[in-house]
Amino acid sequence: MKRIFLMVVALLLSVIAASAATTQKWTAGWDNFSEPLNYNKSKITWSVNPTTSKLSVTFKLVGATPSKLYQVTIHFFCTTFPPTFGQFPTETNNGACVTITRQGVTASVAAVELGVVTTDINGNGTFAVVVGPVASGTYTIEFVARNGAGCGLVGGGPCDTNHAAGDFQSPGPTFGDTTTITIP
Amino acid sequence: MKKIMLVAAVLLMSAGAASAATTQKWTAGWDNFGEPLNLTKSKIIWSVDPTTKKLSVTFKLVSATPSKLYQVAINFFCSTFPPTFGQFLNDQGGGACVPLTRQGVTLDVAEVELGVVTTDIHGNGSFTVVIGPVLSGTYQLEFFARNGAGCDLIGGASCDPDHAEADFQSPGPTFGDATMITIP
Repeated sequence: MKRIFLMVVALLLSVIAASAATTQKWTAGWDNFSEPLNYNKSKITWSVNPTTSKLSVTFKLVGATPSKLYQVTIHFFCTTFPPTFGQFPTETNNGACVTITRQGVTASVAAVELGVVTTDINGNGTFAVVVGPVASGTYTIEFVARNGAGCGLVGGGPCDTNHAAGDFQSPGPTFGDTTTITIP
Repeated sequence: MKKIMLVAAVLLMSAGAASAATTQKWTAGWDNFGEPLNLTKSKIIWSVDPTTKKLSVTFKLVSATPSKLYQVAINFFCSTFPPTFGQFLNDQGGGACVPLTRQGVTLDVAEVELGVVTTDIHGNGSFTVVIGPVLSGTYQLEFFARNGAGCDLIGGASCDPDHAEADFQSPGPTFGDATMITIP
């Protein structure tokens, strides 16, 4: 009986560990600051499964522009970065992170394009992705929603200023405000 | 105790009703027939929640083109169609359905764009959407995945043949092969 009880507790603990999620808000920018969004209801929820080394992320937009594609990405703050993050390719200069300046802040980054939030007639949409297994490490990152879809991916619009610009960032409010994600 | 058992049974039955899902395969076309896809592992899973009148659809692509955007949509076979399907726009704006000829078959359709499957370095990707509440009725429809993203949505590629064409249809294999979905 004691053994069964211990097993149940262990199972419960592992479920809790795998599903402990962090929720964070979007903020405006880092390129566009007038794109509509309900900042109270919009959010990003992410969690790490330490057993599978997988990162789950759900992007939720509420009250954005109706019937629009927002490509969602992670920007890693780094000096060098591997060619992939989980099953997604990274955008670097042969492994070296690329220096960009936004909101007067200059930092070296590697970008990973994860997918697209498509909004409905109310400007609402969600997109969920499971990334991994991810190489163990501590990652300093910022989530971004671009003003369109196509950068670094086949079949979308051109990766020009109109489509690539950051409409929303998280955490923010300034480029370089970061979230730390640890993959054990 | 008997009352508790009955309540539990009712709860279980309602959960079962809401989550009964249909799985169907993709087939090639109806425009492009050379786009790579593991037709055995790729699928669409859909279910109707009769209580909320919501339709849940998951599009899964396996071994498609890596790092590509596939916009997923529904073609309804109809004579007239409302301006919206749940919270998504009818591309034709509502009213009379529009004749479309593919694979030698001509049918009147209304199209609704639901979102985007983004593939990873292996050509795998999935996208889930919950549509509704949907007007009660019986819908004859075919799912399809376009060769890019942007048709009838802001922020993607232009809706030219390169991006609008259907790479995959379901059920198929011929345009007009339909799935019937009933919203009570």
